[in-house]
Amino acid sequence: MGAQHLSSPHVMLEIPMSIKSKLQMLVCLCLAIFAFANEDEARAEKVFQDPEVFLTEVFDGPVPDPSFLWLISDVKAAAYEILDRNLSGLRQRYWRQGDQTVWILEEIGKTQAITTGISVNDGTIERLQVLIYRESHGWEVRYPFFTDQFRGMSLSSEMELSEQVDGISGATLSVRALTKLARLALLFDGLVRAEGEANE
Amino acid sequence: MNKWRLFRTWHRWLGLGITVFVLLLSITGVMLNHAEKLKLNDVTTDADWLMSWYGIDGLSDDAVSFQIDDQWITSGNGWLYLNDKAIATTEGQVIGAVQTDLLVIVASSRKIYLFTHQGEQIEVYTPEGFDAEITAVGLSEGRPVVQAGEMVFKADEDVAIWQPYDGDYVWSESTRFSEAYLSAINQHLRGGGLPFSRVLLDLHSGRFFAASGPLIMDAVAVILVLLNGLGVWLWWARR
Repeated sequence: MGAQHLSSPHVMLEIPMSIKSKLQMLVCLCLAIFAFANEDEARAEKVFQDPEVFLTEVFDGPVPDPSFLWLISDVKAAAYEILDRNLSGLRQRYWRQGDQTVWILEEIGKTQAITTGISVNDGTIERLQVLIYRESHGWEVRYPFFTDQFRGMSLSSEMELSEQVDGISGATLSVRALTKLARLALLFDGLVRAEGEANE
Repeated sequence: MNKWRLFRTWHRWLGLGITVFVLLLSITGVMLNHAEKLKLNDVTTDADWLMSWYGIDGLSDDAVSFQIDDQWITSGNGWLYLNDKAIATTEGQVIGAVQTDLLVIVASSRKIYLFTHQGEQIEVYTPEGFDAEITAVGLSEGRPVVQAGEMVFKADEDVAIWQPYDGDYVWSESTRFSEAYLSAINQHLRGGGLPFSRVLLDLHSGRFFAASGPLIMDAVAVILVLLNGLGVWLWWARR
């Protein structure tokens, strides 16, 4: 195999061609490593369903005016047990028709909020829908094969769901977020109905 | 060519090539070894150039403020401030802010933010019935109004429901942010500054210069090990 010579008045450096090509490969590999050294998760907001469209669907027609659940200290304390964080705000809006309450709630999956619509009827989840998803991974939770399992679930006295939620590999944090929101919606629904009964 | 001369040449040039890196590693290494004694964790720096290098910037130049009676709402870097107090993170461009008897109302292009006069968050929501983004917010007879597309909407007394409106209104106007609160806002955005130990660690690892800096330092370490072996071998062979 031939060799190249890099020469100066003082130095004769021999580099065999095979070593040169290997060095070139090594440089390319290093450049590739450097290129991926700054891997950045792309942010991509996906609107699967507009919240207003969701409300129209669940009420099958005109949407009632929103009502408010005031987030007093007891409510916030109970929400903290579910979310493991403090709930912000002083009021939570919801929509009600008879025994049905509908909530648009958000919870962070890994780093971004997942906007979710939850319809609760007579204390059980009627429908759970991922409306807006903002992360690059884990969006499989939007599909009915996952969200349908929440139908019929209620909240136990320990503020847990009445049934086990089957997770999705690679979407653990999104699954956890939606499970929290399901529990929160059921909690809020119970408080609203208790408030209504107390006022009757 | 004489192989000893070849190896000595490689040893010389490689050694010269990594001199600066070795100096950096040595000096920062010694300092980090005595970090506690030198109180490097307690000493912080918030030099502008260094904070910018780390991407920890102060209030951006495109920040805006809105004066509402004797208070200021400032929006910048994704944060909302009531005077010098951070009250919320924001989504989208903040369009304006107004104050009613009970509430402070801030509008971004997509959301309505409600606060008490003391800055406690009441609710953040996306208003229903808007076909376009919000482009202006103002007051009409003590109630907030917003413009979305061609239409103007006025809120009910709870600022919960917005209805089309064609009466008179006064729009909120932005001004440059108030310098009086700039220092406190920058303190919030930058935290307490960077601990000196953090900067030294990043210099030592190479991370200070680029995300790929640690790989370069790894290469220097490998070369140093090679030089060490080569040097010992050259000495041993020539003794």
